[in-house]
Amino acid sequence: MYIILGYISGFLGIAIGLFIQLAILSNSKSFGVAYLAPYLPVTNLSTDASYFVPPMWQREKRADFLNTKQPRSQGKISMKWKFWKGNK
Amino acid sequence: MPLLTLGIALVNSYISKKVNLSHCKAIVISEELANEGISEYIFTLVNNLELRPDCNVIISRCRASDYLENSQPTLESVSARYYEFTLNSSEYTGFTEDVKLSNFYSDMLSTTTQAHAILGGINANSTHQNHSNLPPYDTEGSYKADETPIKSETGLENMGIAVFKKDKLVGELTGMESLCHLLVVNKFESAVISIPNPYNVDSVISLYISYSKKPKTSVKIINGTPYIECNINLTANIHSLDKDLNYSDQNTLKTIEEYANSYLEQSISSYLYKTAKEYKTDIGNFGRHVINNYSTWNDWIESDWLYNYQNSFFTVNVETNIESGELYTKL
Amino acid sequence: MNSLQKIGKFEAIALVVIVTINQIIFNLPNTIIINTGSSAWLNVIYISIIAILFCVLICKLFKKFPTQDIVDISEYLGGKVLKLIIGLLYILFFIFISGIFLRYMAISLKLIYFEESPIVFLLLLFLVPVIFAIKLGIKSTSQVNLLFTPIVLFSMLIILFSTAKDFVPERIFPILGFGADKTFLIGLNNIFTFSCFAYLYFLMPVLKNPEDFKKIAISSIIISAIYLFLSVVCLLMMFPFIAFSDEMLSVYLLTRLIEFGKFFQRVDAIFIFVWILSLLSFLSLTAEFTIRIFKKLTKIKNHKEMGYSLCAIIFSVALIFNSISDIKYIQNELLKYIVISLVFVISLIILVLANFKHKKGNVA
Repeated sequence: MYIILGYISGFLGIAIGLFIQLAILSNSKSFGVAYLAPYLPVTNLSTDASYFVPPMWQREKRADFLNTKQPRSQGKISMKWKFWKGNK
Repeated sequence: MPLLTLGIALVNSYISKKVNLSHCKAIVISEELANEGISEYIFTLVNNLELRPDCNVIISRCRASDYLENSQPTLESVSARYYEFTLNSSEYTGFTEDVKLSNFYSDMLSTTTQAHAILGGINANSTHQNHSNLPPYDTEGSYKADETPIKSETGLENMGIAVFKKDKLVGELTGMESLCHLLVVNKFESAVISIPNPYNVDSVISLYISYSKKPKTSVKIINGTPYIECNINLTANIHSLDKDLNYSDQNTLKTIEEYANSYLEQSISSYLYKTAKEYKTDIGNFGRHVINNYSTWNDWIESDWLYNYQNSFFTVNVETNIESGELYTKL
Repeated sequence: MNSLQKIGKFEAIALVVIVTINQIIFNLPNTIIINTGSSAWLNVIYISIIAILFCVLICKLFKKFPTQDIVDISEYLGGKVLKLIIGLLYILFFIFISGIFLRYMAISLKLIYFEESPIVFLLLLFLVPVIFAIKLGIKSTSQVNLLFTPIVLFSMLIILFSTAKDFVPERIFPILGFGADKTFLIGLNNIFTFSCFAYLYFLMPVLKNPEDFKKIAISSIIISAIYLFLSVVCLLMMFPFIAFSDEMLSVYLLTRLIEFGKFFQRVDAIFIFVWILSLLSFLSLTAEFTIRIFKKLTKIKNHKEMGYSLCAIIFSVALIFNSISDIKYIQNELLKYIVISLVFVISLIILVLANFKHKKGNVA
């Protein structure tokens, strides 16, 4: 498809094709979740599905497009055994 | 005046492919044409979208077609690299300047400076008899583009700077004067120059010079005449050795430094006075220090710096610091 | 369905910023520099401060009317007559701006790449995505815009900083340019560069959280002002002739000078690609707002089909101009007065009067 557009009008055609495809994609939903879900719309940049994802041991917030009941996957300090000395 | 685009159209009808200027490395214009004014050609070239703004502008002392025919790369196999390196040799010789089309265009339209271009010529056996009446060897920098005593069959030579006033060629500078120009405008990289030997009247010492600090220029306007002062700091290494001289001795080095300072000051002064009195153009962009003093554009235009430049007085101070000579001082 | 679509905070900021970026690409800094000479940077700082103050004023005036845009406010103030007048004025304004920018971009592309194609072809190609975007609604258009805006902003920054080594700082002297009066008094006209205020007026009904309006407005105006300042300074320091001649795309001339050693040369094609995308976003958003105003003025049920006729109107407006000199005349002379009178003067008067009426209504 892009080849035909590029043949018709070069860079202009490819840009037009890209724009139309992104517009159609951002309008469609799959299983109730938007297609371009973690990237657009931008609601909360610190969840574990966004542009810059933190390393495994720092991911604590669930993605918000899932509409979960609890926004955090575990308590505030998840690895309690690491910080408590002695017997609990 | 025939236009470039029409010429290209004629060439397109003659050869089987279409001429595209996007790999053009240099534009060669002959002296005769430059004397009449080349603003039309430069504007057409700058408006051309295919041409890169960083191709060089060369003014040739012979016919432009002869210049191009004689460009035969002897040490290179690919002619594009030949042009690149030939035109960039000014970085280590200092005998000409790397002038690009964008620089030439903006200098031509600027109110603080005037344009200049590379001076080129053919140095071949056929042109040697034109210069048989030159004085004997003076220094290596006292030549312009096709005058150096090199033995060659064919070959190009880029040496010197062509000085413009608005868009007309008004004069040419020799190699040494181009080096002085580079020193003053902070475009100098490194070069080898020769200064008279203080201990032996007939011989010269060759020094390899480069900047130790950036040159400082200041312009004061007193009663309408500009007083321009240049302070240049260089470091030098002695390249030529003499069996009689002791290069580790402080006094020797000091004497050589003083001789170098006075020689350079004299050359730079003569170059500056030549541009001011003889050619009456300011190619060193001294106007940029003056424009700070004016608050509106109309005042600046009324002061007419480009015309006022011919009345200026120059003071040049050169400080050379000679580091040691070469590795061996005594054998 | 489309009247229920709402857009979020970042999308609204991107929407307003892309308007100014498009104006920068289409030679707006050149207009400023021609008017004020080498003091254009002082002028830009001056009008940016005034624009930010104006923005704070607008936010205060809009507080009493959450989820209402300026057409609704004019209906509250003067009934159906005023609503019709203001709505028609803004529709004409948006169509006019779209037509001008579309034609300008088509001519520039024709000069650079498509010398043999007829201009009708290029104009039609630009309008096809606009029709798609109108059908899909403002939510997807603004999301695509949010995707492209950081790319456009980043490309502008690359242009500005990679030509920095060739700057000549003396070109910003003489300080006051063509005169202090031209810089500050007559230079106040240059506030037409902030025509993104027209989009701010219509932003209220489409926002998810109307409380964010103040934050959105101020941050978008600040970003636009920063980019305007950077582009004016860059153009001023690179070219000595730009105050005296008329170029088509001044920022394109900057991209031709970007050079990283011997390998990266002539990278201007990427920037053209990015600018085409930004123009497409801009056209879609403008068309979307125009259709919303039209829907408020009339009682059409399925107003998305109006997209076809709107694009036909924009196409014909883009074809009105015979040559580039017409467009340049309009950009440099007429557009100033149109934007200032409509976006700044008339709308401000309406907002102030509506606030008075609201107060009187509360008191009584």
